[in-house]
Amino acid sequence: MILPWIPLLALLGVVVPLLTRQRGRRFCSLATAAPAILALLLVFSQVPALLAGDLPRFQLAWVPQLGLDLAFRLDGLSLLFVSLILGIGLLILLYAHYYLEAHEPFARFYSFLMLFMLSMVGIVMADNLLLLWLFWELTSLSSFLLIGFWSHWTDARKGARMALTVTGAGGLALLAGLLLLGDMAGSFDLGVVLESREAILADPRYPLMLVLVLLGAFTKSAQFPFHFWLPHAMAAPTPVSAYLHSATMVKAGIFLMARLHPAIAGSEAWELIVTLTGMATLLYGAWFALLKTDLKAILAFSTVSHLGLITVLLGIGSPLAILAALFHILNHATFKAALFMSAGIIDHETGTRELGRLGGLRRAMPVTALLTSLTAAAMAGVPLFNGFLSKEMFFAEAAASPLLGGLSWLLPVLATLGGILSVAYSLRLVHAVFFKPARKAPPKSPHEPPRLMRAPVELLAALCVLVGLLPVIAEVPLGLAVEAVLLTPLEFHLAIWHGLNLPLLMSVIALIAGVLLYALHAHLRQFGRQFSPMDARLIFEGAVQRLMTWSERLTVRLENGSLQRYMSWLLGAALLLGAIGLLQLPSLAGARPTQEADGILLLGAALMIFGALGTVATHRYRLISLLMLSVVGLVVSLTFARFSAPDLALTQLSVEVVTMILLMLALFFLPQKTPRESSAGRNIRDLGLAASLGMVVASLNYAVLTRDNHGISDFFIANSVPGGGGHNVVNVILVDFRGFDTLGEITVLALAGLAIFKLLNRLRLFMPHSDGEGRVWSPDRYPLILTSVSQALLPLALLVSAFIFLRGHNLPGGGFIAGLITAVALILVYMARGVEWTQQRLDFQYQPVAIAGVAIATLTGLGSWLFGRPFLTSAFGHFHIPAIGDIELATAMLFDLGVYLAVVGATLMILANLGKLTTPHRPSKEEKH
Amino acid sequence: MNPEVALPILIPLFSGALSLLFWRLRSMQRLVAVAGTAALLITSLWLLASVSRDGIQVMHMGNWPAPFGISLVADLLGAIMVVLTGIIGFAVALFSLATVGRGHEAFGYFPLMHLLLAGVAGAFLTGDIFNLYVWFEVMLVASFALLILGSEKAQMEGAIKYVALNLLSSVIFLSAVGLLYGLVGTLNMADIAQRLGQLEEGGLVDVLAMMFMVAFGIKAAAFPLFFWLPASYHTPPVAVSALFAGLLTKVGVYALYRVFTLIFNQSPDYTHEILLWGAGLTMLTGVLGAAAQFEFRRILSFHIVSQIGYMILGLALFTPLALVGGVFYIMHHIIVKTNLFLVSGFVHRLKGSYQLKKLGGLYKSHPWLAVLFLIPAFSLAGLPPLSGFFAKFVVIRAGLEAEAYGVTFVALLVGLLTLYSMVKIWAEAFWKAAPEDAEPAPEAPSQREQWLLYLPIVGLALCTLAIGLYGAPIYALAEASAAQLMDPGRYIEAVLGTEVTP
Amino acid sequence: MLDTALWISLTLVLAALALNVYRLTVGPDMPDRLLALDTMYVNSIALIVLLGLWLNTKTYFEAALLIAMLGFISTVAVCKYLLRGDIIE
Repeated sequence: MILPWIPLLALLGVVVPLLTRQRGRRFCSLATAAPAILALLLVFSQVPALLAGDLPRFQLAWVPQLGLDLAFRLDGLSLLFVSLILGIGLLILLYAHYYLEAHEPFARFYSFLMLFMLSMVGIVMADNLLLLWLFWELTSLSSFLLIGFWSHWTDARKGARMALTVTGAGGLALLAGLLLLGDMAGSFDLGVVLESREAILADPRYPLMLVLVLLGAFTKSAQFPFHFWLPHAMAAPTPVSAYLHSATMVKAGIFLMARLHPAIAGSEAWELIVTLTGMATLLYGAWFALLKTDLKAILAFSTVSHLGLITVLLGIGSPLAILAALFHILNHATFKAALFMSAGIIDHETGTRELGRLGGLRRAMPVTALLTSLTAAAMAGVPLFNGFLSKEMFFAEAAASPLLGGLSWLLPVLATLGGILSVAYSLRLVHAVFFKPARKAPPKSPHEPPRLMRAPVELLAALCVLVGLLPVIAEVPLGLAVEAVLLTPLEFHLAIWHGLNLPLLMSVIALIAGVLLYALHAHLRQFGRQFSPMDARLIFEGAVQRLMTWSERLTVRLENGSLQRYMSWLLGAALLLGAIGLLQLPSLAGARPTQEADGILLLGAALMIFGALGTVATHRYRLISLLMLSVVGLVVSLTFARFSAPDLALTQLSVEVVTMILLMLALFFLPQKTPRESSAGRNIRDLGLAASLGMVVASLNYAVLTRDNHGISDFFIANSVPGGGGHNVVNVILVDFRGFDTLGEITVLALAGLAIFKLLNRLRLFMPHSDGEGRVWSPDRYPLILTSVSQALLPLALLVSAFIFLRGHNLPGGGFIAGLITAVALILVYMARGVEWTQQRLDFQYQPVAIAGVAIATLTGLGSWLFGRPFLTSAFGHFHIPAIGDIELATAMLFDLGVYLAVVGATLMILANLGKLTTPHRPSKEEKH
Repeated sequence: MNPEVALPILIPLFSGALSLLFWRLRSMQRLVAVAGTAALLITSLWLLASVSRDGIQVMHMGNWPAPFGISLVADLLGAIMVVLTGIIGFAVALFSLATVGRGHEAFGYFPLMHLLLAGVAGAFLTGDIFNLYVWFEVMLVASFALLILGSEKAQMEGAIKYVALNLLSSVIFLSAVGLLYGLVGTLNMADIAQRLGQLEEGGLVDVLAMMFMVAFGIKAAAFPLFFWLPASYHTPPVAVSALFAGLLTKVGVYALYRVFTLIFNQSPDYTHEILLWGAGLTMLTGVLGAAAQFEFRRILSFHIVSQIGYMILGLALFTPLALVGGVFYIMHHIIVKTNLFLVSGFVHRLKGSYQLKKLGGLYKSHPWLAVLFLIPAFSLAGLPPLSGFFAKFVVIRAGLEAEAYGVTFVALLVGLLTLYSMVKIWAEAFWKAAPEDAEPAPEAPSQREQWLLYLPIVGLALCTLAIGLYGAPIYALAEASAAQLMDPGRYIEAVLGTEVTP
Repeated sequence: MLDTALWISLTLVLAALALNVYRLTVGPDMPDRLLALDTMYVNSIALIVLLGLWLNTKTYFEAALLIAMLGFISTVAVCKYLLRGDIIE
């Protein structure tokens, strides 16, 4: 149960600095370090168990259905990495304590740093592929926050975005790769995966998986050609660079390759891809490290180069190569962290990192000079330092690898070339900063840093020397780690002296040629300058920029703001999909015979078609178009009547009139005649679209109508009287069988009323002076004949409406039609008498009427709940009322009353409010011609 | 009796009527807004509990047996959606208290919000295809009214496009319902499914399926039918945007899920293949559109489109795992997207702008808001351990399992671009120092308003975290609902009460 | 006997409807068109009553009643529109 505490303590470390921020930086730093120290102790406490051959594991189900467990392990590989992460992390913390300026939010910084530590610990300890990936993404995220810590600075923001984008892309590829891998192995449990090598290598998806996983590893470990984000991540505060880019984040990719080595390595594809990528990275990084003039940039590129070296070793993949890789990981972490911190000290004390402004610092900073020289020597691979040992092993493995067949000699040659470059840039780093006289004075006068700020560097430098002299001490952790990668123990012995052999020769060549190269370095830079500077950031941002312009162009093309365009897209899509479907139909007509057409029907159809065409043809003369439209409406309602649907006919008629009035109210504010707006081409497009859609819809209708169906309508006819208490099936359907629909629809109506009320409320429109032909409006506002007729008609119409409402349950009619008739009748009064006159007499708002309607309908429905029945269950009975006689009453009529009120309220809300737009105090203007 | 099936529709309907009655009493309207949405949330949880305990819940309106009356059906998917409606409704109601001005309240913001919620809940619960149309209309009209609340020119322009294109969808939907009724003679979805299963000729059914696909595709904002969304979502008050962003398109997605698992499941090679193409293109066009934007809400709007693609992808792959992913994605997306809009509203309240150019410095001045932005933003991009990670993860895994590599690649790529967009907002609005020529910020929110602003954002962020960290039960829920979707027989049996012959 | 009468009158009414549409189309003036539409309503009433006679049902007569009433109102609305532009003042 000790294992989960290691990440948990790191998690605690995320919170602690935020909580202790108030108590000063010293306290906060100490408090933050405490959990990490404890975690490190816990890690060491597991070493005896490991040495005894145990594998400490811990497992807790998280989302077991997905195969995601909270599972940790601590094998040799994890041990090596987790000690590096925690150990160097602690040193960095100490360093950062002195590095950050007083005004900077140190608690936030610590918190991010610990979050990063947590995610790294998670990666190396995860015993589940998905969990590993989860922490993997967490490193991208926390490093994003760390790199962008100085967020006011554009470079920091851009560097952070680039790092996140590149590693994020790799992360997604890795996810896909790991999913495939888990699928091949049958489990995401690391133990199972590591043991399913045969199954994995034999799977046809293996190459795809390999490429995806390697993409993830390469992007994270800054392998060529994905290396470009790393130098730009140097915009981070130096402690971050020292931590992320020496020991941890960039090592995550390497770790992944080592971790999965037993499961996915060993194929030819693996060897070729990994080795060659590593070699390219090694050389590329080393070359640029030699050319750069910014201290941190030099270190960044050298990191790239060393990562390449480790990658080559992993690609070669022999047991000794693995050993060398792990050893170099350890060595690189120590000397590179020290070098980054030294660079930070120099930057901190002199105010610059440019080689051009530095020089001769050995006098002002003798101790730093010594420490830097020692660690740089380790980086260069000078004998008696730790870097020498692993580099020697690298040379040996490169020389022994048969990877390239007849061209295998290339590997040791290239490796030596890398060694030469590495010696040269290390030498340059030390020489230019400390020994060469300065050309220009640095911004600040340099002096040694605080004692404790230097302590981490001293410790690491001491380690470099110690391991270099006594390599035996590294044997135990390396032995455990190698065993974890190879799955079997490996007998080996680390020694400084192997006798006179090829690797030693390569080392000697590298050292001598490296010194020479540095001597000629000025010429090299001359040579390098001939190439146009290739700033990776510019390329990356150029690519992003291109994507932006491209997508902008695409978006503008699609989303150009034209409603017509959108409509045509929509209709086009509907047309395409509908037509494709129709094409596959064996025959359009079904089995049912068609009805015979008589003269009335034919003429009706002709009128309707004519009316529709006329509406379109005259659309520029709005009123004529409206009249044509009403012809269509009239014929439609006649058609309903002809095919025995009187209810529909009545509804259609009333809706028709209301619509006409509505349109005329709106037309008043529009020009009488619209200008020609569409080009001929567009007219043709629209015509084509409309005609084809019409044909598709007509064909569909024909197809459906000529097929038999045995629907539910018989039930309605049979149950209307016994179940619903009404003879008019349509009405019973509306208020009973499907009353719920009606409830929804009257809500829509009331809502529409509200919306239009809202829409009109702040609208102030100009009104024309005269009609389309320029005739001034007639002065007679309320013609006498109209007023008298309307007064006579009103009670009559209300009577009709009441009649239609009351008998609706049994004969054509009902609340909806009755409501419309009432509304139309009242509108007539409005027309005849004007708004003011009418409102004096109808002294109430229409809004509450509509709401009351909806409320009555809802409450009627709820009433049935009181009797333990489902919503809207109706009841009816026959009652004897004196003087009137037997009548039948149903709760559905109450519901119908709700419908009636909602319709009246909503219709009048719309029409009366539109009418009110034109008050006597209206502004007006001349119609323009 | 199981009133919890109907209550999620009736409560907002009733709250809407109530707050219309108290048209002039501002405090009463605000009270009803909070109480009504809270009641909705509670009943929705009740519904989910009883559905997961006792299986699919059915209520026959008017006590008419199915298929003759209208049935309300709550299966797990429906119940989950209703719960999400409740959560979003409640969060937005709280947020509205601080952001919707007096002017909008006076014109019925709250009643419209309630009625919109009623429409949404109705669409999720109805088991009748025509009734679904009715609730779509309720939603459409209510949302249109909410869009034009401010009567500004941009709002009008957006609203006209919104309503015109959505009405087109309604027309197509209604015609399709009519044709379907003509073909099978029934409207109850379970009954339709059963009768279609017995129909010998499938060609016509496929055509109808396409019509439904177009109609719901418009609602869901799928490619190439999404234009109304980016044209309008950035115009209304932010609480309205948030409500729309969370719920409206998801109703379309829900309808697609319902119809293409229950009714049109006969020829998935044809219908779901088209959906697959639609899903891929939707993801791509949405995310590319977002890349070209520099306005907070417009970026988010385009991302709705791209995220819809993932949900449709879940449906299109049509494997059990893919449906789990789709359902999970819907759950996650509703919460996260609403939250992002709420954050954008908060930012607007502080800085007075949605233009990234004019924003900045919030990381320094409001670090907690920055964290609250990062949670949904990274969740949207699919970073672990947030809700979006699981959602994306399951969909991608399903894609790989179905060996649909092309569309899976698109899904991964879109994830990356989404991340890039979110980082763009983060870098511009939060990291970057505030521009010097920034207009003076509007009056800062009072302490009480800050509470109202923070509360829903924190709540939704906690939901996101909870879905991520406490994933197993949520996943189990999604899995169970996907299992119901894959086995329409259970739905049919629950509604019609008969044994179904497969 | 009735059948013959029905046929003759139906034919005439239909012819009238067609002529109405003709007038509606060619105009020449707005009031002409308006009158044409109004006459169409009247003729529709006739048509519907005749249909009722022919099919021997009573249900059509309410439709006729409503057409009469609503046709009148819509004609009034168009008239008001022509005269004043603004139909509700």
